[in-house]
Parts: sequence; C-alpha cells; structure tokens
Amino acid sequence: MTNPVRWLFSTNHKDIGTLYFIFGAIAGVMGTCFSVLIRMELARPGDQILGGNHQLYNVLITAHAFLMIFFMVMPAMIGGSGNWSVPILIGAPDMAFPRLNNISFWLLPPSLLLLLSPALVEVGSGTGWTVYPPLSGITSHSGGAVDSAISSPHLSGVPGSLVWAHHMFTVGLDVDTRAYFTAATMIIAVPTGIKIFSWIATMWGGSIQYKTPMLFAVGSIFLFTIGGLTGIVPANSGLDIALHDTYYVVAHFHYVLSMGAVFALFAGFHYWVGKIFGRTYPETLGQIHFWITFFGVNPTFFPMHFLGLSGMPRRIPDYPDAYAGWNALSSSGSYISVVGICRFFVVVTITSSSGNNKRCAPSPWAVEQNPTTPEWMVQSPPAFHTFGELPAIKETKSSVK
Amino acid sequence: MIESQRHSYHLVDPSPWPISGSLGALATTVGGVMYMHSFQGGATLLSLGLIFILYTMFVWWRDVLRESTLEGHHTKVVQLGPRYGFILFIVSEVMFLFAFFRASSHSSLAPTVEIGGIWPPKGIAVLDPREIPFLNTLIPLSSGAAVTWAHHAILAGKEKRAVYALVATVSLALVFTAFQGMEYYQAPSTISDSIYGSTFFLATGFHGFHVIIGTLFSIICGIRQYLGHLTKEHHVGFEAAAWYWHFVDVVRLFPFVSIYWWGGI
Repeated sequence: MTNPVRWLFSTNHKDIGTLYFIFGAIAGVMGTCFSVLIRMELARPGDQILGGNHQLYNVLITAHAFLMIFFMVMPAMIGGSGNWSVPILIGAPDMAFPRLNNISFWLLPPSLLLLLSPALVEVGSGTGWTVYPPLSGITSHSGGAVDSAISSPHLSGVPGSLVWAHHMFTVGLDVDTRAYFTAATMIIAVPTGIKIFSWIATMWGGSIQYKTPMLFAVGSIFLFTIGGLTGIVPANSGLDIALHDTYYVVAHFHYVLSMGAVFALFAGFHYWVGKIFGRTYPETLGQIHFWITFFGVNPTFFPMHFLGLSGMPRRIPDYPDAYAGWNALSSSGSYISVVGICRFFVVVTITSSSGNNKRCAPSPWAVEQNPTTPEWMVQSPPAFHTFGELPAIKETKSSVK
Repeated sequence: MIESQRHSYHLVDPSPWPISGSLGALATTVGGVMYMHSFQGGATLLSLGLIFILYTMFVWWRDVLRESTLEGHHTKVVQLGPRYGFILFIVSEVMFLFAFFRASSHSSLAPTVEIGGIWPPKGIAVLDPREIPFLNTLIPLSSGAAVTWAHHAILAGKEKRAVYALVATVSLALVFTAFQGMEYYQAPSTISDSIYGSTFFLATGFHGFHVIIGTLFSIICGIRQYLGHLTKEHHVGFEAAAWYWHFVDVVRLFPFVSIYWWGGI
C-alpha cells in the first residue's frame, strides 16, 4: 500500500486515530496562538496589540473557542484516543464502518477551513461560539463570514444535552424553565462527584508511580474538581444573573476544559505513547512539561475567578485600571503555558525520532502482574491489523489478595 | 490484505470515497455561502459540490453492494452492523422530524397576539384536510402494505412477485409525491406566510423529502431484486428500506392529524 493510499483513503482505526491526533495537535497550536493574542491584548488596560479593533478581538475569541473544543479536545479524545484504544481494548479487528470512520475525520479539515476563512471575509465572525442572533444576524454581520462559520460545526457535528439552557439563564426564560435547568444542572453535580470519588478510589491500594501520566491524571482530577465546584455556583439561575458573561464563568469552564480535559489528554498520551510510537518517551522532560503546564495554567485562570466576582465582563477587549493586576498575572501565566506546550512538542519529537535503544516493551508499565487489558499483550506498536483472529477474553483467578 | 484472517468480520479495503465526499461537502458549503451572498460562481460551485456528493454516494454504495454480493464479505455478524446502524439512523430521523411537529404545536396550542390569538393565524386560508391531504395519507399507508407484501414474497422465495410488489410500492410513492407537489402548487399560502406557513411547509416538506429518499431506496431494492441480489436468507438492504418506508408512512400520520386536520379546524 502506497503512502497516499494508506493515509488519504484509510480504513484502519489506528491510522485514522493517528490522523485525528495530528489534526488535534495542529488545531491546538492554532487555538493556543489565538489565546495568547487574547492575553496579549488583555495584558494591560487600554488598546494593546489589536489597534482598537474590537471586532477583531471578538473574532479571535470565537475562533479560539471553536478551535479548542471542536477541533482539538473532541477530535483528540473521541477521534484519536477512541479510535486507537477501543477496538484493541475489546479485541476487535477494527471499527465497524471503517469508511464512515474515515469520512468523519476528513470532514474536519474542510470544517476548519470554513471556520478560519471567514476571518478573511469582510469583518469575520465576532459572535462568540454560540453564534446567537441578533449579533449573528444580517444587521450586525452582513457578510458571508457567519454563514461560513455556522456551516463549520454542521460538517463536524455537535451533540446536545439535558442542561443546555443553563447558558441562557439571562435571556428572559420563564421562571419554570429556569427552575428546571437550575435543578438539572445542579443534579449533574452528583454523578460528577461520584465520578471523582471513584477516580480517587481507583488509586486507593494501587502501587502508584508518580511518572508523567500519573502526574497529569492526578492534576486532571484536582483541577477538574475545582472547575466542577465553581460550576455549581452559576448553576443557580439566581446567582447566574450576577455571574453570567463575567470572567468567573471563563475561569470555571477553563478549569473543566483546559485543565480537566487537556490534562487528561496529556495523561493518556504519555501513558499510551509507547504503545503508539513503539518508543519510550523521555521521563524527565515529560515531568518538566507537567510542572511548567501546571504553573502556567493556574496563574492564568485562577485570578479570573476574582476578576469575574468583581464584575469584569468576558468578550470585552478593554477594562478599568482596577482589574490591571490580576489581568497582568493571568497574561504572564499564559506565556508560561506556551513554554509548556513547546516542551510537549520536544517530548513528541524526541519520542517519535528515537532509535531502537528506546524501543518500548509490550507492557512497559507492568510491575509484577501480568497485563490485564489486551493492548499490553500485543507488540508496540501493534500490527497494522492488531488481531488476525479474535482473542478469547476469559475471567481468570483473581489476583487481588 | 491480511494473509490469514481467522474471524468473520469484514476488513474493508482503503477507499477514496470518504475524502472525495468531504471535498464535495466543502464545495457545497462554500458554494452555498457564496451563492446566498451573490458572489460570482457561487451557484456553479454549489451545483458542482452537490453533484460530487451524489457521485460519491453512488460509487460508495456501489462498492458496498459489490463487497456483499460479489465478494461475500457480509457474513451474519457483519450484517448486524448495518441493522443496528440503520435502526439508530431512523431513531435520529424521528427526533429530527419531531422538532418540526413540536414547533407547530408550540405555536398552535397557545397562539400569540401577533397572529391574532387564533390558529390558523388570522388571514391564513388552510387546505381542506378531507381532500388531497386525507388521500395522501392513505397512499403511503397502502404503499407500506405493498412493501410488506414484497417482504413476504422475498421470504417465500417468490422472486418475480417481490419485484411486482416493489413496483407497486414505488408507484404509490410516486403518486404521493405528485399529489404533494400539486398541493404545494395550489396552496393558498407560502412558507413566508406567518408561523403557520413556516411550520406547515417545513414539516410537510421534510416529510416529502423523506418520502423521496425512501422511494429511491425502494427503487434500488427493486432493481437489486430483479437482478437477483436479494435472497431468502440475506436481504439486509431490503429490510432497511422496508423499515425506512414504514417510518415514513407512519410519520405521515402526525402532520395529517396535527397540522392538516386539527390545525385546520
């Protein structure tokens, strides 16, 4: 099979998963660039780098949100990790409907193009990621930019949920609707809490090694918990009147996403990278990457709680001098995070280009027990088609004493 | 590709159609935006994109049929995939159409002052549900009966009779679409005539579009039945078409009862 056929016409879950990872990394770098531009504009009060072009600021905000959620987190988690691990974990020869699996990936680059090209059309799409009218309507955005930006997620697909109206507590919903969505949003804190306790309980009694994946996993649980707790506050539609569209909300969802979700992604990446590349990653550099990122994202986002509680609105490129201190700290934090991202790509480069001496064993994490899930029983990297015949998965004698 | 495959799953060969479909989708969306904003060449790009998508669908499904009929890759376990997939697809279609009926109910159950506090809105003339609308509910239901006849014929191994039954199914479907077209042509209101026109044409229009999809699906099954692709034991494509057809004819009851009949009183 020639390389163009293998990568453009793929029907292989591992190759498609790899494409998703590469795509997610590219989108992540682009989204990070936008976030740094945002933080540079907000580093000090007054116009900084955008020359007073506030529409452009809103375009950056919108692009940053779309890139990070729809083109980085979702493709990397569902597309990349899901494609790579699920078939191997369940002992399947590949995904069902491999061509649909592939088109699902190949709709992303056109979708990304539709998202980014509007920035070049007339005024761009400065609507925020919700693209709500009237701001997205013909009076505020007369060009084709918003139409193009709206087409973008239609190509990539967006799931719904039971709590969606908690984004809309201040739009004039009637009190019954707000009561339902307040209750529904607060109730999801219960399964979320159970989930966090079960993660902690999973560590209980384990032989924990604080290598890079574990650091990121523990970091993810810790930061996700902070994000979860700060989310219960604006879940109350009465309190949300004060907090809606302030930096408190921005701080909250960045703790959930850019720390909870992204740290989990990094944890998974370092845990399975040996399986994917067939080479062991450099442990020290991995840990340095963790600590730089940890000390980058927290100064970036923690002060935003204070800014929000004291009333600083989101999606506005300027602010009174009173907010200058915490904003300066926040911007410095984002520059540190960029250094962390660069370390990550150093780790990726070293791992992917290292020679036979860094070859990864089939089960690199095993201490004494035999591997318990199928991905650690096959070679690293697994064969093009992992299973020529179906593995028989049986219950064996319990190894718990 | 694999030397010795010792399982009954189908490992599909690399295929150019996913990426060609995505290029078609790009051309369609960019062309659509350009067309809506009167850019030069927008309509051409939109049409080219749509043609490209239709071509991709044709060759993609052609490949699936070849893998099933000629190469025999669709073992019992492989057949489960399209079955579950198609059931989920129909479930998502139900949700899709439910949204339009719900929009209609939302506006008709508590009519606002803007439309005179009544339903149908003040000044809107509606169709008599006992004329074409009622007939056009009986036709898809009869067509649904015909497709069941085809199913029994296939299961009984009566190949010719199955073809006749599918011809009957498709003919009734075409009559439905013709009547629906006539109804739209003679309708006293348009899609821009108040919330009534918007919900009426959106709901019945999307239902009609689904009838057209189901008709094409049944035509393909008829051709495949004529060519001898479908056997007593293996006719997943036909089963999916029959499920889809029953979904479409049952869904017709909702606009008939809630929009044409109750909504027209």
